[in-house]
Amino acid sequence: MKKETHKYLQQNADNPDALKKFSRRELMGAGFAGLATRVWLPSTAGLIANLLGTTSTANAATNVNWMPFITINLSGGASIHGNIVPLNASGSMLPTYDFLGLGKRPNIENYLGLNFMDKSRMLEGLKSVLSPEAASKAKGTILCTSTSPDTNAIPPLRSQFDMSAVLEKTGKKGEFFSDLQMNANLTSIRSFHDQEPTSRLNVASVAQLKDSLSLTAVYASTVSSTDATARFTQNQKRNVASVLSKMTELQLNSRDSGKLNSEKSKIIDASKKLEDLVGGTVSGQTLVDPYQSALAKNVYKLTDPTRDSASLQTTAAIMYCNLMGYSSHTYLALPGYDYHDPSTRTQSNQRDFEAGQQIGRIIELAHQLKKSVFIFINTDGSCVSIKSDDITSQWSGDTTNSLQLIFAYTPTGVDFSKNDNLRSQIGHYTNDQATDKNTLVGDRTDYVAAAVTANYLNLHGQIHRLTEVVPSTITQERSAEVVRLKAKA
Amino acid sequence: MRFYKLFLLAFVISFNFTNCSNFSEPVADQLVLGLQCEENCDSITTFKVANDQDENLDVRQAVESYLSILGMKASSLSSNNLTSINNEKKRRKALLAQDPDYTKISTINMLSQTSLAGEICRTFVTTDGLKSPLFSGVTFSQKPNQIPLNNWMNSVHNFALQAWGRSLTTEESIAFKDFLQVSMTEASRSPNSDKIVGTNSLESLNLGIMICTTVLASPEASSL
Repeated sequence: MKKETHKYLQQNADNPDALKKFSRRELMGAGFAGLATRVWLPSTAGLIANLLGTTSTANAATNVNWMPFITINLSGGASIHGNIVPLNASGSMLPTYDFLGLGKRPNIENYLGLNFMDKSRMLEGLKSVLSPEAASKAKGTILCTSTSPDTNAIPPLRSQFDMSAVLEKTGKKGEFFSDLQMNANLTSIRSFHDQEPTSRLNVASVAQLKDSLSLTAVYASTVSSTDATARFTQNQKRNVASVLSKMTELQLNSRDSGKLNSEKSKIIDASKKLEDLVGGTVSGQTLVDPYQSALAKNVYKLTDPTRDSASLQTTAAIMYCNLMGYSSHTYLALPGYDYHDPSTRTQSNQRDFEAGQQIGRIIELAHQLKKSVFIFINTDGSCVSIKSDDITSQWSGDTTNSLQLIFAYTPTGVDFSKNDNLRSQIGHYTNDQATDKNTLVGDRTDYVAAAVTANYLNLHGQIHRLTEVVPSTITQERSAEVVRLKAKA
Repeated sequence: MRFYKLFLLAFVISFNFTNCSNFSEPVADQLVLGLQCEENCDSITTFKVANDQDENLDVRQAVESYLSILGMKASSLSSNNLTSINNEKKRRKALLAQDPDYTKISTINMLSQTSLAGEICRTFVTTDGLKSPLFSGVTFSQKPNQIPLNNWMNSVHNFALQAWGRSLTTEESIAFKDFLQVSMTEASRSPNSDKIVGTNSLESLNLGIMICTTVLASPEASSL
């Protein structure tokens, strides 16, 4: 090793960010490690930081029972403002909605606290799957935003609506997974401030999800007939997991330094779950299988894994996993929302209906499982209609003026934190049917993500952590401007 | 200039392995973290290599380290074994921790690490591993319970020395003895207890894989 590098390392021994830039070999040369053959796994650099007594996850130990968090991306530019009626700054209806596909003055039906146009297909989809009791304990809020349309192929233009890393920053942790995704290739969003979660798994099938929770390949019970080795019994697999769990406990407890001390028990607990997953009486494969849950089968109308569509099965599985706490964050991208069909609204109506069903099923399953849930529905851009007083007027093109949506459900119910006409709306539209970009959420998508986070935190009584979790966005002082949802006392 | 050449050489080597371009065994550190010469080369700067192929570099580092510990070379492996390891890499790459924060380590990360280690250990045992000094004292033609417990324990010690850089503690020895005794009993009950692979006992090979896996996947092997 060059003397300069060695000197730099020694001088920066208390700076984990500096250490992370160096190779194992360089660190060892500087006296940070004494063995050339040790495995350099991703955890190692962080562990150095921990051993040095520094932290990287602020307040992660906060003892909060975080609600499941699900993000649905309607890829292409769904017209949520063709379903839910945005209001102006004073909380009044706009003079006309004739460019938003809602005609002159749409009739409003209040559902989940939102001002739906009474003929909204999204509303119809929600009602088709959501029981009145579940609906009575859920509330929604719209965010009036400006987002680039059709961003799937243009990553830099995507909105910063992927909040999987933000959730981890709160201290939220999935029992097995960090970020479970479906249809990630369709995505039209990007990570908030480019922060990535611990890991992501894009699930293509229930089988793949099960596979990820088992010792596949070499430890499979059955392997290729050409490979005579590695046919392990369940007891043998359990024995492997058991000794690994024991080694984790012994080896972590033998260390006494830094933040590791406060995290030992969590890591040891995680290793004990390995025993449950690999060799428990209820295997991990069973845990994530929606067909093993009568409630999930009922809500998602699952009947037979050989007949039900793969998409339905996988959607049910990832949503069920999230609600059960197996994943910190679940993300579903839905195709077909670039639907500004110049002829009729047939396709867009069908897509809106399906979006409503997707949202409704999640809330209904949460209700039946007696779990809470927070859902963030977002889209890239939206549609404008030809100027018309008819609520069936056709879409004529894309627009950046768009609504994003959040929903919250808890078994005890959700309340609005304010009581005026704008209680279910953050930001507003102007009277000329465009988003007011001067509001906190009107122009910057990272601020939109921060507003969503603010509501999520507020539901847990944690709004005081806003600037810690989503720094450089909405200040603590202005958080009240974007908070609408709170848990019912 | 010398280091610049080294970097270039490493790059060239990595793209010329037949069937194993996913590995960079001789120069892993240089390739993964990168070494670059600045101007007159009096100082070296390190940088993270651009991940152009969306590869999880952490998985790659893990695989390369495991191979290194076992004294295996990717270039010497059969295409079947390479395919097998690469398939396991693909399966696990999204599930190994990518954030360098040990406090975020989850059960699924541990499981994935164990599975990845297991696949490499299977390759090890079915290739040159049986002749390795790591298994000295173990006669694989015998069934697990025909081999003295101390001989199996000796292998555990050998693996620990190689992967952890130290001997087992008393408590670790007790835990591994329990593990071996249960494994030997279980092997005798297994439906494969009489199965022979070539001239070796299938269950003895499997116990070799299990020892290798548990040592490589232990925290002591993956952290400082």
